Amino acid sequence: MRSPFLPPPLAIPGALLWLVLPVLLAVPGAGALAQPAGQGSLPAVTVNAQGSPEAVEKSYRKMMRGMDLFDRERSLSPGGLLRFKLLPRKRDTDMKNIALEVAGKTVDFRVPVAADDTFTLPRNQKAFDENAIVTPNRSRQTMTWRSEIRTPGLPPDTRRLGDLRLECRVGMEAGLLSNAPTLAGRLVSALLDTPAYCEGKAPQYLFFADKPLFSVALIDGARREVLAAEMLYAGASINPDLDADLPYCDCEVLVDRTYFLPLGDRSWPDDTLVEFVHMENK
Amino acid sequence: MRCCTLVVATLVCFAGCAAPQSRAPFRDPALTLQGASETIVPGKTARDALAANLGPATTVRFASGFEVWIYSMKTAAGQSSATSPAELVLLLDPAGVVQKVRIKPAYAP
Repeated sequence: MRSPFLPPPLAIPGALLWLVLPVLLAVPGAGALAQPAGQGSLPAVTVNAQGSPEAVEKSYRKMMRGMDLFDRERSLSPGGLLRFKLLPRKRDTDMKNIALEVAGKTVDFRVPVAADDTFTLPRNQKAFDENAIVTPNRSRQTMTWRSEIRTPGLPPDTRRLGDLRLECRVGMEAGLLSNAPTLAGRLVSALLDTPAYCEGKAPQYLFFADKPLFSVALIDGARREVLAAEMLYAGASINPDLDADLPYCDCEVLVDRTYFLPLGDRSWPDDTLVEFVHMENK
Repeated sequence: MRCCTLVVATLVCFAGCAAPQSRAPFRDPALTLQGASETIVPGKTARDALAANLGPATTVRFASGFEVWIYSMKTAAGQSSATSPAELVLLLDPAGVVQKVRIKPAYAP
């Protein structure tokens, strides 16, 4: 059985992976796949040489596309506010005083990061045209990224399901997940990481709570259901290979804060509250 | 560094296994989730007593020292595998003492 905890880029049917990999390996030069859209069935893969190979970086264009999707699909979260969030991926990752920069061929500007490690990205046509990168002053594999959409005024320790549905869609559109360390993995991700992934009944898109979790429940009026333990902790309770898989998961040091949601189960409306009970009451 | 460790304990099948209803995961097959939860005193019941009284659980251990113990009702023959089974879930602090207890009911698909 496929590891249930793996995040979307690696959580693909094994048969498909083994179908895709030989094709990738047979291509003379991975750059051959970086063809313009329309010349083949594969989506375009951009190789960006502007940044340091050791730095964390995301595509400014993709993040803009995530923001565009947020604007288009506001019906999922009519009152929600979009921010992006940085999260530690290693136990010793320094999350203080992060300097975040948008860098293109000629454009270069800083983006302020708030104390809660969130930020908003300003729209800049030049950065878009130059296919700029968004990069913090941290090494590769030390951080991960998520979109964060919150409706103000919710009860404490709750989120709104529609906000989280849109978070998943924006996150996938913006290419924020950081789970594929190899070129092959990134190419597979390019094929599979789309907002449509979030429409599955229980997609393995990892959400991170603010604090370690003991319980997560869905509440819609009088209907209340507690999520099974396997929906928490990156599926650890049904994954005996967890330790071996963790280095490939961007949840590596946040497992106790992770949960999956039945995003595609439309019997739960967007106004459903997701209620958290944390391990510690403090 | 290992972030957390999963221990899937062996669940021993007692005579109750043949019962038509969902099977209890406890050492005493007659024990219900509610009955099991009533044997636990948050802040007092410790790991050893838990294992002795209820039997082995599926446990997830975190780098913080906290552990989650899960006792899941097993799906009976003829019951849809899509049914989300009832669970008794316990939170143990780094000292190995139960701090929180919850029961998740079974939900039909």
